[in-house]
Amino acid sequence: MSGSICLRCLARPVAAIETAAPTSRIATAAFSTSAPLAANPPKKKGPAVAVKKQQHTKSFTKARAGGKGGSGGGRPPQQGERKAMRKRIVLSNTNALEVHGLEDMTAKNIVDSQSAGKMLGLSNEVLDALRAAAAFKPTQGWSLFRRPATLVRKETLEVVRQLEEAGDKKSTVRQVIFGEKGSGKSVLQLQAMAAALLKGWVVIHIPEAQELSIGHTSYQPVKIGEETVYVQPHYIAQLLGQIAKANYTVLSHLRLSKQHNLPIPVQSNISLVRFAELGAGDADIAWPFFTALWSELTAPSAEGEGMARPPVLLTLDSLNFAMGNTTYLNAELQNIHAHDLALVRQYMDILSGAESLPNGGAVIAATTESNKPASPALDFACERNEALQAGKEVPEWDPYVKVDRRVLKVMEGAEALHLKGLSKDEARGVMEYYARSGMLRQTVNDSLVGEKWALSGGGIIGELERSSVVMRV
Amino acid sequence: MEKGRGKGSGRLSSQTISTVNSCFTRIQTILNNTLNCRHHGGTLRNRACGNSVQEPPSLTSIQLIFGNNYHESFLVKKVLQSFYGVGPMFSRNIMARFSIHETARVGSLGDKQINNIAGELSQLKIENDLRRELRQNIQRLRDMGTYRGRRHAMGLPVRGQRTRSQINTARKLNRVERRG
Repeated sequence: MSGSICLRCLARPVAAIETAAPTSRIATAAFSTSAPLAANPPKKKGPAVAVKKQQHTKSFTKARAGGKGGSGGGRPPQQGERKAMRKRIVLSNTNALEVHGLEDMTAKNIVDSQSAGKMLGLSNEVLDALRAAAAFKPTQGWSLFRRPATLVRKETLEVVRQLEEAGDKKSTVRQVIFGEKGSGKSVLQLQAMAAALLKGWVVIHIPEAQELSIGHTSYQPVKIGEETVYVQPHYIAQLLGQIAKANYTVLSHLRLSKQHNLPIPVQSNISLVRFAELGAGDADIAWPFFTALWSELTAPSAEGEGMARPPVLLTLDSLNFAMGNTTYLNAELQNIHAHDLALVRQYMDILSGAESLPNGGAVIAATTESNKPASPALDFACERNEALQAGKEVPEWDPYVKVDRRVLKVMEGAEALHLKGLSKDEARGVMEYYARSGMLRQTVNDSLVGEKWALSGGGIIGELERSSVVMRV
Repeated sequence: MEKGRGKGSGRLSSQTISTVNSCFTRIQTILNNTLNCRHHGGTLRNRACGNSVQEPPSLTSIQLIFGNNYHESFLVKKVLQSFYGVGPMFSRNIMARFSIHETARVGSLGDKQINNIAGELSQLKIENDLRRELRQNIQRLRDMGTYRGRRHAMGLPVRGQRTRSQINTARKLNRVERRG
């Protein structure tokens, strides 16, 4: 694991700075022999001991009384500090070895079948864009290695091939990734995003559908025709900011092409990145700006400077939270269905095929297996779609369970990608990377790979990482 | 995170540090300014980094709701429930009616929402009106000379509890001029 100080830029977290001991204090080791030698000559025995005892008890009670911030009192964490630490993304470990010969992911090698089972690093540009899009998660093991790299697995090549095809044919890929906890669903999504960024696509990522559905961000009803949908202004403003930052290079070359009905006047040929930033600045205007940006991105490509429109990749993690009721309430005190949230509806329209992407693109959603709400319709739909694709017998819905028809309908057009464990070759590829990073100090041979592969439930990559790198026996 | 992009941010590369002096000044600036370390990620001093959904604080620090002042950092739910007669159900009801999410803070409410809440609260029997009603009910029992009225007046349990021990709640609360 990385230390508290980053050796490359000497930055360290704020807590460490503020609680750093003054340099004038002499550090003493617990069992040093030099301290008694260097100490002043001992005074009278009796009182010295008594004083010492008194001081000790005093400091002890004090620490207990004010000990809000953990061991020995000290400054209690300020508002938001604990969450910031919890959500902190660490993408480097200066103690890990640099892996020589680690190639960066490029638009070419990510589709090459030669890369199967190999680790590919992420270049700085892609890294910055992915970070801006909040594609990395604190639960993933990025902090164990010198720099972020991902394993190109069979499914990666397949997903990227589909993306390429969608870009060429201007078709839309609709995919839901599901699988066991730790099977690499989010990272596969991240790889798709990285590939899309390398191809010059626009990437729109919702990092956690939970944020949309647990009622922690503002919402307001908006009438669209007969229906009421709920817009989440602050979240959408934040998302616009993320879109602008993650797709800066692509969007800065694109210009506004249509007239939009916007709450504030906007220059007619403004660049789309500036347009998104304008919307991100104010939550009150974020939704009209988001819809306008969306209609710009989904407008057919035209001739002229800044009028070309690249394909779009939409990704959403923790799909389970967007496939059921949210904790938001409507005016009638009923829980609002996630598909009545404006942003989620936009996604679901594309996932279901009700809306298509004229310039091509993809919508890739990943389910979650940790702390997920029950969504039997989603689980069923994933199984059903997988069975249909494989030409197997389709499972039947349990008639005693209430069915969420909206979810089933959305899932009808989506391809289900069941992410299972790695093959042994892929496991070997990633374990060699662990070893070359200095994080796995064993010889990577068939028996070790076989052992770890079996222990990780047949190559579940999260477990594989845990058993070979995180846990040291 | 964009904030620290310029000079003095955590983005150091080996080319920029040519001498020990420049390195030292750079370290000083890093320690003094907001940190943005790309290796460790996130803004180190900025609390609002990461993926959390942050809502910008409003300019006003105090909001007036139904005659009382509340700091903007207070939860709307708690503020509503601070009124005598408004509990979890009523607060949930009111917030759902005006589309206020459960973690909303007073500072994030618009003027219209505050007016709506005030209007809604003015229609409810809360605070002194509700306390008055409670007292009137007890007074009525007392005036009729009922057992319940007498027990209230004596500060003893009303509903047949034994009085051998543990009647602290009754002693505290039961009286004709009950506090509420």
